Amino acid sequence: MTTRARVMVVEDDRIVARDIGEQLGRIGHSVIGVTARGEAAVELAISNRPDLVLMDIRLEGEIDGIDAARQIRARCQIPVVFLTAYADDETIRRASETEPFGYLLKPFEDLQLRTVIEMALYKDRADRKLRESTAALQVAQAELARMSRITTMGQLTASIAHEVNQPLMAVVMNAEACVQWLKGEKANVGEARAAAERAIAEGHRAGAIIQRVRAIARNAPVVFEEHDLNEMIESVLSIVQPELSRQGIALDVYLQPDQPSIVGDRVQLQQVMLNLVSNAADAINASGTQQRRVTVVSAMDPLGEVCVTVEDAGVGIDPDHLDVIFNPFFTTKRDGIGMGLSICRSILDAHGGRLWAEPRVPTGTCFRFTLPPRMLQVAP
Amino acid sequence: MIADPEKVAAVVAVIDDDQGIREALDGMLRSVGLQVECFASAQEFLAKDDRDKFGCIVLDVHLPGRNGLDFLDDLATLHVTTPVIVISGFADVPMSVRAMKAGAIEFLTKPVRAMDLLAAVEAAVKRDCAMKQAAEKIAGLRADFETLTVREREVFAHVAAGLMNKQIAAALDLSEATIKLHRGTMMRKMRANSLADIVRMADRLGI
Repeated sequence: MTTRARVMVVEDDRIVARDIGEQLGRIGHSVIGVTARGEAAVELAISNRPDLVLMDIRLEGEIDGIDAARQIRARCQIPVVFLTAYADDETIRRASETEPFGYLLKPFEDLQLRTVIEMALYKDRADRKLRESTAALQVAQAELARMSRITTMGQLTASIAHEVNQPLMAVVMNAEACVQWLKGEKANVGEARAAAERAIAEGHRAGAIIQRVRAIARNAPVVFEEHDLNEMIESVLSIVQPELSRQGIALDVYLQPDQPSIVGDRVQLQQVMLNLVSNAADAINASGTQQRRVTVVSAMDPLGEVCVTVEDAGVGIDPDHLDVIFNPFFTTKRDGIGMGLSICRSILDAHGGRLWAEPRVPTGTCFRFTLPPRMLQVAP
Repeated sequence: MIADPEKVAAVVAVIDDDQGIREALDGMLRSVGLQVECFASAQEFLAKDDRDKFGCIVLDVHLPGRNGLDFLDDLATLHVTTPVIVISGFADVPMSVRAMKAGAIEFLTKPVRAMDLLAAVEAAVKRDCAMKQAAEKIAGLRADFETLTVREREVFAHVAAGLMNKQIAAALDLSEATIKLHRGTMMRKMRANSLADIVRMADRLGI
């Protein structure tokens, strides 16, 4: 059964355009727009939302049919079928890059046009379904990632409270000092002002801590943006640092300056850091090693990729398990659910990066992840 | 808040790795007329030569590298008797017990109230003064004792033990007159007025 489709025709020859219109009518489709210019085709597609675009390659105007198809595809995901008399290799190659839904050489019969349109519409429906389920999968993954993030953050509650307590105490002390300096005949306004200013600064410090924590725990859609990786790492480390020092674990950080910026979701990438560092701390605590330190290094590798390393001298990982640890529900911790590393790896995958583990000599583990720099990254 | 700040000449040492807290404590303690010196770590404090001037140490228990409580043990090993006030972000009982056992005189939980801290500082400084005065007295006593001759020290020990001149003379195989002479010089050198003084001094000197 043929579905009646609303078709837009882009064709620089008016007579051919009229013929195609008639052909479409005969096979049960309707024409909802005709234009001879590539630029107009893009605008019409956006405003009229046809089910399908029949696109000639040579057009009037600045852009040809291939460029117009590329823009339509990028902006409104409407299927495009090329109808053209040109079939040279270069044209076909360029046209293929726009992932067309069909390519029909002029002149063509009703039956050929009908088949191509049917195939295109069918493929479009399939694509749409795939996009929907991919989107649903992404939502589910993001939600899972958020749950795991919140679990990790939950383990940091005590030290976060401590971190907020510090500036709060400083605020109170400074305010008390301020009042004291203003007391009596020999009030010292200069000292009082200095104390008040310190109180303000400390208040902001408490605010900044809360902001950093909220930025990680928030339930926000995944946004790929340009970021300074080192700044992002430092921000996460400032959240885990107090917990590490509470456990008597030192944090060594070596961040190579002037790295190219990366594109990604800040919260998700911070989650990876958070997971790797707290795993390292767990490994240290599980091993009873005297080397109670976690080393975090960021550097650019010879291929121009940004590489981050999180290293510990803890229990280490059975060489047979080096890859299994990234499987969902794999855990060696009594209270773990085994999702952390699996989520981390899927985050890196989504960023066009890689995450893996290497054994460290003589003990411990080294987790590394790489991210392509912004110039090399393809928009997801 | 402190009755007479002029009297408190002692310096308060603040040891905290958090610069914001350090500055706040410094400002607050100075605002009531105390002298303050701040240190970012226990090591920094221990590297100081003139630690004697401190009348009190305000210590954050969560220092990086080494725990603040380990630092208390270090102080004990180094025979530093300066009273320590411990400040902690986490008020857990085991830790406060450990701190008190390790010699802290007060355990305060963040955020600390200025009043509580000042009361603790005042008590600490007073205790430090008393300890320093007692130490000075013993030092003076020891210095006096050092001026005694071997013979006079023997007489001192026998007098403190409650022996009569006659008995001492017999014990040391000397005449009673000679003992009287030594005893007189010894009493003068030790600035003692009575037998009771000598007994007390002997007790303090551990003789």
